[in-house]
Amino acid sequence: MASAKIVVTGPFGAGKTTFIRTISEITVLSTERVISDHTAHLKESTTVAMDFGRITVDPSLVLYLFGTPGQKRFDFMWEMLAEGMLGFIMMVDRSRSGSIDEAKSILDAFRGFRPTPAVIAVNKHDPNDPAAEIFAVRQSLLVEENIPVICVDAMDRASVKNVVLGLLYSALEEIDTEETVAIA
Amino acid sequence: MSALVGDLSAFALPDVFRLLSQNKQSGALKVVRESGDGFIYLRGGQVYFAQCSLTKEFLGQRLAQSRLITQGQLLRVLDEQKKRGDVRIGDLLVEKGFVSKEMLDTFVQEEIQDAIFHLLQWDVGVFTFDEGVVSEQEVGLSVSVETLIMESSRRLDEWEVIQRKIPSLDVVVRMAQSPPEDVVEINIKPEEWSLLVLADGIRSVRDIAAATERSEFDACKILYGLITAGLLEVPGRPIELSNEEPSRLSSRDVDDTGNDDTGNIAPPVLEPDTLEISEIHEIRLDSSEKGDTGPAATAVEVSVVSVPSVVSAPNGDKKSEGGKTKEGTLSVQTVPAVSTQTQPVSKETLLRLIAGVRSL
Repeated sequence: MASAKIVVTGPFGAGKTTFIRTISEITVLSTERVISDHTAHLKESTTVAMDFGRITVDPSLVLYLFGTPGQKRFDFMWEMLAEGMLGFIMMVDRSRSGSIDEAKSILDAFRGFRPTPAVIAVNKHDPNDPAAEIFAVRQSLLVEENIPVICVDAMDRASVKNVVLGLLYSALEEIDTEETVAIA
Repeated sequence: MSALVGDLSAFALPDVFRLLSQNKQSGALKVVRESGDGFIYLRGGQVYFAQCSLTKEFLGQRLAQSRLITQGQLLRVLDEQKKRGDVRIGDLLVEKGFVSKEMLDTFVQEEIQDAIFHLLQWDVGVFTFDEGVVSEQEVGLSVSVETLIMESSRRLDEWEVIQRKIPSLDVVVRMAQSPPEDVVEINIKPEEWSLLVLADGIRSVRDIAAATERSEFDACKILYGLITAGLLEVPGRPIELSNEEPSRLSSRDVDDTGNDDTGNIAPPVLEPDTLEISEIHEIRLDSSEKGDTGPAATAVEVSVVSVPSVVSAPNGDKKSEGGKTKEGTLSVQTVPAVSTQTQPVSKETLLRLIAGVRSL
């Protein structure tokens, strides 16, 4: 069976686990655990290994979603998880001030692995003005124009699906661009 | 003289592992504690063989026990090996067509992973690294240290979840006395069924694992799913929860079954409910494959159209073939062992992915 992999990354507590659970067809044995360090007040448990979700596209093709651990001390896993990925989704928690700064360093790390399509998913945002939220995140993270920034509700399946599609469309555009360049 | 010597109380094995990997070392890392020892062989920083004395068995015996080859086939290759001398059992098994090279590689890789999983949990003992020492049991595999550590970490995390429902390997499990609420259909897999029928309220989890020739970890994982789904229960044993922060990999004194020194699995810590209830309509079970469940998945998903007469249905009644249960909903799923590695996708695959996700 053929498979493709999307990595869902982002700062601690950004909603990565929820995002994967919302769209995955399987329920995952959670790898979350109680937190003992200074981040404990933010979230009762965090992902230390990884979350794993699956979407069976057809009998011969499956899409896997891998969530990275959010805490910096587990960053040694990021590169491993990024290996062979179709692209990555960077989740940002707009309700927490430090989330954007942490997202910057994770984004830099993932950009350093190898060029792959990416989408920024803005979670826990102000639902009254999504355009302003997107603009603010784009400015703060200094993301290129070709990287979509999309507001998401990690608990809403349609919203999560929209983000996954955003990444797939970006990947498709990239392939089309490569083909165009190759022909030229 | 050994190139590296140390005590596990001062240097955790994952750290030693990473050091050797980063320096692309080749040789044997020996770990010794009172109850046993283990070897991990590296070449260029990659692991190509590992063995733990407490689980050590010859490759041929392990394959026979796993029913990948018959005892007769094993005896034949042992005779052949005796005649030909310097030939490895694995090579002979492949040469004779008793197992495929891919199957052998997968099996050996799992054995290496098992050994390393056990060794990484040791926090007492000493280690020595001898450069240049090679294993005689090499089978031509190499696995990255990071992959092995991550897999071990994942297993340990799963243990911690499992312990919430199965606090000890000695607990007895039985069919639930009352069905899960609102259940009308239950989809279970053959591997789940094979354990379900052994949950008679007499056998312990350890017994069930042995009877199905599964590792205790695998059996616990499946039983955990069945308990969480409400099909099985642990009679008369309240599970105490603890807020104690468990340590990972190197800092808990667990034995080679994954338990602590008292024989009990460590206190549970995690909260998540891992199995979802969804809408389905009757208890069904069959052995027909319904497609791949993903890379390295351990079982195919099945549905069963009849319930063996000797088995109690979830509502506690003895069921005859074709019997149905009360109405309700339930879905049982287990996590496949999935590699984190995939290949780049083509445009055609991408278009299929888009179509698939759009149709969700």
